[in-house]
Amino acid sequence: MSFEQYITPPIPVAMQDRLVKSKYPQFKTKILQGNVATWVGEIKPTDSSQTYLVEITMQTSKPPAIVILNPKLEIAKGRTRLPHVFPGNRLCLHYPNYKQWENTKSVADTIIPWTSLWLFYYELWLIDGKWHGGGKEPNKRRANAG
Amino acid sequence: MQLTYPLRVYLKEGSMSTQVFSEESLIIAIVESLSPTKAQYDLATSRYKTVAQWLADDEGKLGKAHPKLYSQGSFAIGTPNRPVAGNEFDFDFVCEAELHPFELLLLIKARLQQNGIYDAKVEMMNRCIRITYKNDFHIDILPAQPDYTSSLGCVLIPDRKLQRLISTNPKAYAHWFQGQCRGSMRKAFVEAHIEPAPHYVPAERKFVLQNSVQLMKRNRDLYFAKDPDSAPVSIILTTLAGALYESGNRTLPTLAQIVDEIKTQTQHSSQPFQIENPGNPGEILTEKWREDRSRYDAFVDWTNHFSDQIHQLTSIHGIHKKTELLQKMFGESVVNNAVEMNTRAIDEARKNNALNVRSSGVLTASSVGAVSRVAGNTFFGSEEEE
Repeated sequence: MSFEQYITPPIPVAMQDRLVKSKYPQFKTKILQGNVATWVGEIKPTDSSQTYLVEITMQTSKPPAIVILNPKLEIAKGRTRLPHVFPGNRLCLHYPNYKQWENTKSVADTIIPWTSLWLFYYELWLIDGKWHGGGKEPNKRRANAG
Repeated sequence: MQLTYPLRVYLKEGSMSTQVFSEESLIIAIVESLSPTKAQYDLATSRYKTVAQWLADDEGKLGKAHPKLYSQGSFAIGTPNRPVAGNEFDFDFVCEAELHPFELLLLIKARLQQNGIYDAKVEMMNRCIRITYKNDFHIDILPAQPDYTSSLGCVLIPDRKLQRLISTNPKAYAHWFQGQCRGSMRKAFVEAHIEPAPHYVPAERKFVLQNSVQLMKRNRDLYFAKDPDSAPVSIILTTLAGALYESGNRTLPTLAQIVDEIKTQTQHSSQPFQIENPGNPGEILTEKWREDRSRYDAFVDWTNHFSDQIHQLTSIHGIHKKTELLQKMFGESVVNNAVEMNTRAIDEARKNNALNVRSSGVLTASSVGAVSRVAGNTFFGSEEEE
């Protein structure tokens, strides 16, 4: 718990919804109830890229969960699994210890651009099996960390 | 002696694209990877000047004829490619003097061999003298005699195999191509600029016609890799492209338009069409097609194949999928280089906190049309595999 939490309240889910829709009008709100919101929308990281249907679920008490609904994510040649995902293929876009995501931040300015960036590096990863986006890996002993 | 310089190809007035991984930025990066680097241009220019000066300083018959040297071929019109195998480029020059071309050929060779540096690397080819610089490039010097019975700039060059003189006009060809580059503005007055040997221009500032010609030549090289003798010669591809190009300032659509138009032309008749040298009317560039029908058929097959690839490219999505096809079209290392150039642009922007995103999700280094800056982030989650 950071000191900032005492002076900056979390952004209410309804406000997050407004910010997402104003910046990315292609996103639709599937759920907006209490502290929970789910959005679904299309993202295309570059003009040469595929268009991906993305689902973002957030609760003010937890980091958002991001899944790609379609197309089905492929595995690069010579690899057996996707890089930088959580179980269930939820994208892992930030390192908790760096506090890059907090519920005082706007999903529209963090999660959505990071999703685009992840998808960009994912397409490059499909070419050579290497992740060019940098990042950290959990300690091998703590397999479920993050 | 007069060092006559080649006609200058105007630089296109255009802005550098800050869009990365757009169709155009990938293609432009491919052309950039296909072309000689600035360092190679500079080196070639200095070697060209040395050769030109050496020939001019001759105190014998050659020097007394005041030979004029000017570039011709792909360097003169801004369409040189790296060769597919090996690293050697080809700089072509004309050495024009009032001497019989066969005699001029021998005089040039003798003069070059007087200079110790050239001794080991000077060869007589069918129409020119070749100076080979190890691991870099050749300079081919074509002896030419002005042909006053013909149009301005017309020259006679020697062909040792045929044992006769050939009439041609490299300056007029370069001038014609330069005009064609301007597309719909080709009727506008083009000032002939005098300047030293051709200089480096980044691909993003070249005319789309120039880029298209380079891509056509490269695709042809790959397609005919196992059978180079059947390949259509570069001047045919260049002339077709120049004649068929209409307008437009994006490379891939231009390439598509040109190749589709060539395909249409081949479908008009079962007979090979003729192409006249636009710089030298009367000179038929497609003689070989009449002599050997199979070469024309191979050209038609290549055109159809290339056209299919171009259309496929515009209909598939995904950097990985486009890259795979582009590698087949233009070569693996050239395309990998292009992908790297584009990736570096995103990485640099990200590092400098200058990466933005548009409402569609498209990443951009420009702030125009952006809705968010991409805040710094560190990917986490599952490990990368070794």
